Amino acid sequence: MTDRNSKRDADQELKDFCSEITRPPVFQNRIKLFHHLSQVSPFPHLVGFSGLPSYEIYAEKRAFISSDHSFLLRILHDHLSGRLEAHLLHPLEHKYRYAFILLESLNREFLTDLHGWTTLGQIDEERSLASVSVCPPSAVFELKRGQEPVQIYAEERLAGCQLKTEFFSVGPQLTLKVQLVNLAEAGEIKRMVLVIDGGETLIAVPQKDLVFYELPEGAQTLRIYLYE
Amino acid sequence: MAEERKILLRLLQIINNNYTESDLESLIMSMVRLLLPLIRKQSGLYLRLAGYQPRDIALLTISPLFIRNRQGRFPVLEKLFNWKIVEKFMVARETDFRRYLKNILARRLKQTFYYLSSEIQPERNKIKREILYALKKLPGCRINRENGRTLITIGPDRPGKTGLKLLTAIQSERLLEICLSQGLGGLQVPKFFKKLVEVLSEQKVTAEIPLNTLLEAYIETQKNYLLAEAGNGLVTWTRPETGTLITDLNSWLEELRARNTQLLNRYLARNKIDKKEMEAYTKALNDLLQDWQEGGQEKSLFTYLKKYAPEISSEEYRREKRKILEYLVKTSRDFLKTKLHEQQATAGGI
Repeated sequence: MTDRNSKRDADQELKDFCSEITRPPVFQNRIKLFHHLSQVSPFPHLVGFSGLPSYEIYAEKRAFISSDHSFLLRILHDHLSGRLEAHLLHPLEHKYRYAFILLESLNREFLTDLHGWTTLGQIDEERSLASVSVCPPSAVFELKRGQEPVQIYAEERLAGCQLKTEFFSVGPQLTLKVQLVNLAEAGEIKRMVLVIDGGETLIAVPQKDLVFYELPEGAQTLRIYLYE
Repeated sequence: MAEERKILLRLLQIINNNYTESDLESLIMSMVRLLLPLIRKQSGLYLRLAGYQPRDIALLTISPLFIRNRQGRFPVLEKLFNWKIVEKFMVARETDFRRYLKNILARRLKQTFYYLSSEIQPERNKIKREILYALKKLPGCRINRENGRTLITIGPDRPGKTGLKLLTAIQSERLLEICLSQGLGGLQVPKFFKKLVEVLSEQKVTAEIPLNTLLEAYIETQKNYLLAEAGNGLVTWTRPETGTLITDLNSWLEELRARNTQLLNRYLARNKIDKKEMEAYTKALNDLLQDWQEGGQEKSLFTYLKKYAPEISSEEYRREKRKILEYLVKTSRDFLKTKLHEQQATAGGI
């Protein structure tokens, strides 16, 4: 009986340990957004060459705003695909670029692109948008081949944080090892995002402050975003 | 259903993009379970010395497979287990898939060790060379190289003789116990092995063990000595398998690094050091902490600092820098002592 209990405990412990990768993150740097009740802002004119006026393609469903009014999140409905899209706005670019939008009732996170834009997909609007938060990156590093990573933005808590990087080639495959160094007391990086040449984006969960990224061929400029 | 079959079905769900969080969790767990025996077989004490437990290595090996892109897909995992492969194994025998999966995991495990080699190898290699050098000079030691393995015989001659016991690689823990109980910690390599030969002669024991086992015994003894010394001798030896102490030590060191940064910031605010010097102090202290973890301080404090501030002369160091560095080292040591006292008190050791 004791053996069975200890096996169950060990299994549970292993399960808890493994779930670090899949568990939705509890971001320390999370900013709660509230429903914005004022008049919705004009529709975006980023609709490409569809031949339809923007208001026929997108309908702004809702808007959310942070308590200090710095973040504005617009939820749009794409009539063509039937999907919900989100557009995050902030006066500072490092706040809306590659920021996580968290839909707490769905336990899901969505990463915005360079323009603060992300696709939420075909989700239930009422249920999904009950509680919304945003988590901008706490630090951004730029890395070029053969050079040390350079910190290009960091919040005060991560000012001393550094990245130690190493490239390994295993056959034709190039792997980048990223290690967090000098992380402040009680600081924990929940997600690390690698943006390759401004395009491909890889979202990793650091283990023991380490991440191994397998890079596509010809990757040149890499940006690493850290989220607390 | 066999574990491999479950893995295959979960992979199929991921490829079809209709998986749940619990599917992912089970897949990761299954892979970790398959990897753990391989890791235990391949790794010894040195992983724990570097602060890694087998399950850390397992998760580090698997985690690159679960890196997502913005669309929520897993590029690496889906490249390894694409439609064609999964479809093929759906109709193949389970043993075939098991072999394929094990090959992939074993290959990736090898890569993980390769990626981590800078953390777990160089210091060991240096100590290994020192040990070999010391053993060559020491009477009562023989070094045999067979099939690429280095076997060391240490202790009185002719172990087969009546009254002499032979200690083999299987009894390596007994050797570690002898080193710890005879207080060999804190000794430099030559003295350590000279004393070990004496102790083994007294106890009429001859050890015939691989060089790597001897190296592990040496490192573990030094590490235990450091912890015991910091705790004013209140720490009694416990089996090295207990991962708690290492986990605690890692978190203490993290805390300590943050405290050192705070102290240096104060020096900076008072214009006692500049930013460049602050960086050099931080890096020197980090190296020292690393050495403390790996057996103890290896060189003078001046050498630690000079590595990152090469322009500094010994006069300048004595005149201006030594006070600061010695103070930081002292507070760091005191911090670790306090933590060990607290841990002992909590565990009822005092």
